[in-house]
Amino acid sequence: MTQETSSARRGEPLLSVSGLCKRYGAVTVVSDVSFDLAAGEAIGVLGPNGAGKTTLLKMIGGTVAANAGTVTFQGQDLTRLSAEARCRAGLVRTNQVPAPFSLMTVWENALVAASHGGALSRRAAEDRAHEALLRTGLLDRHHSTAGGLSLMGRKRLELSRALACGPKALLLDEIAGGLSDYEVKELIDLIAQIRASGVAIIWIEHIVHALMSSVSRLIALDFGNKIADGAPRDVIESEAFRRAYFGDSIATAELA
Amino acid sequence: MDIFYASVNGVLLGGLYALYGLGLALTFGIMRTINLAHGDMIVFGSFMSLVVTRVLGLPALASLVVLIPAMFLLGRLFQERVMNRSLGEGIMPSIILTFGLSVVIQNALLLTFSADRQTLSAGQLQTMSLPLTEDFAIGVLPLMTLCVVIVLLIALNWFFRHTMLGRAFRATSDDPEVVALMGIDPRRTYGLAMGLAFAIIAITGVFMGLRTNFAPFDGPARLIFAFEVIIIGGMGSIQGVLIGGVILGVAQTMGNLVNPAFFQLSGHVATLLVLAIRPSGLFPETIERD
Repeated sequence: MTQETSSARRGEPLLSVSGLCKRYGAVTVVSDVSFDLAAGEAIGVLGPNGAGKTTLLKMIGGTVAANAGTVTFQGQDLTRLSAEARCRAGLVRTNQVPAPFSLMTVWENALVAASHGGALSRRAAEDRAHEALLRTGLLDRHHSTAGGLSLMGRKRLELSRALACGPKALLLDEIAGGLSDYEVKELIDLIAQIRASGVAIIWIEHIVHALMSSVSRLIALDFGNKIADGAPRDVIESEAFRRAYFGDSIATAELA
Repeated sequence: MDIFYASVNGVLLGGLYALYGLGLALTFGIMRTINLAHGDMIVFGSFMSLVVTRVLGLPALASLVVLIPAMFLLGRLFQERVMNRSLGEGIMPSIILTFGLSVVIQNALLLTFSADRQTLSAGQLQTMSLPLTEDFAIGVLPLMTLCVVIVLLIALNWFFRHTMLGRAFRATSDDPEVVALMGIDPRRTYGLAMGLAFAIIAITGVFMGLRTNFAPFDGPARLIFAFEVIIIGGMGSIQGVLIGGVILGVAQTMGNLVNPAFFQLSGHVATLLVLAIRPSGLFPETIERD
């Protein structure tokens, strides 16, 4: 379809999602979604509320079991593995609502992620936690209790813990939601740095400009179906995407 | 002077009560489940110590060398094979499950050991005392019990703050779903935590058996004391069990001073007072889960 997708398909993809489905009773939340993520690639996922974005991410991360489909990571089929096993394999998800271990310090939060998620011994875990907090700018608050952090602080901590796990692919769920414009900009810079360090990213976000400036490819979901996949500009301007967001009449009027 | 003696005895008694509460505080603090069979498991620990002392001819305290690892394994199996199945459905399934288990343990003990009251023997240790004044001495065993619980609390505090596994316990207690995103299997953590709780239950069972006699149906009474300790100290607070145990112990010995019939009643009244004034206990350490 586009250069990005074709280059992603050229080599072995880092992550390959194939035919993922999730049903709750009669309601199909995610229906037959497939895509590949290349090493170091950043994909944004867009879609109206209830399109199945978070469920898709949770299926990839292993928190929600898929009814059908497979998740292959670095050539290994992870479909039947638990979230903790996928985390150790390098496929790490952050929460939509930051969920720090509130009674523990920022440092301990990062250390738990490094020692368990990164499966590191004490000294190596401390180094990794230190590095993660340094990158997210939380190092000077490492003694604070995590429950006392501001929203931006919690989002940074969420990222710090994910980084401390040593991810090869990072699944970010609406990490910019609820932040001020200035904070969003800080976050975009941070994510750009993470991406520059070679970590592949799948990022769900409602703040479109944040996505547009950070990812090289967009996937649009509507009612659980993938309706567009390609270069960000192409997806945004596609008819299917406009119809999902604005309804039939406006889409046709604008396109006419 | 009587009040002073009663307080000292109350503090010493509080050591045993703190032990009762410690296992329950661990299970509630980490798993957020309530173990209604806790008292019966303590009594089970006493009986197991009795078996080990009889079979191996060891003194009761030495039976801990066998009991602690055995109970750790049993606790781990119990959590992983039984309790983990009741996770995620709120607190009720664990209550029903352990209530049933409580009945099973009591009757299994009755069938195996009859209804006779038993005691553990540690020879002179049980009668040794340290004279404080001419007419007042404190027992070595109660003093030892208090020291054991203090050492356990210091060790646990260190373990929870400075080890990988201890931090995993605290993180899992905070949010069992999120720890999975950090590579921790909460079910495995729970298994290890229950193993730890059972190891402490083994210690509790031995010290209880040395202090008083015991019979198969004694569990529920121990459970009530254990609950009172953690209600006073703060539900799930590990360090709170010491103050909870001491307050309960002192309240009981003070009540006893007024009238021996008030021994238990005054302990219950103290618990109710704490519930009325500080419903979350004196040292609430855990936070509400969403």
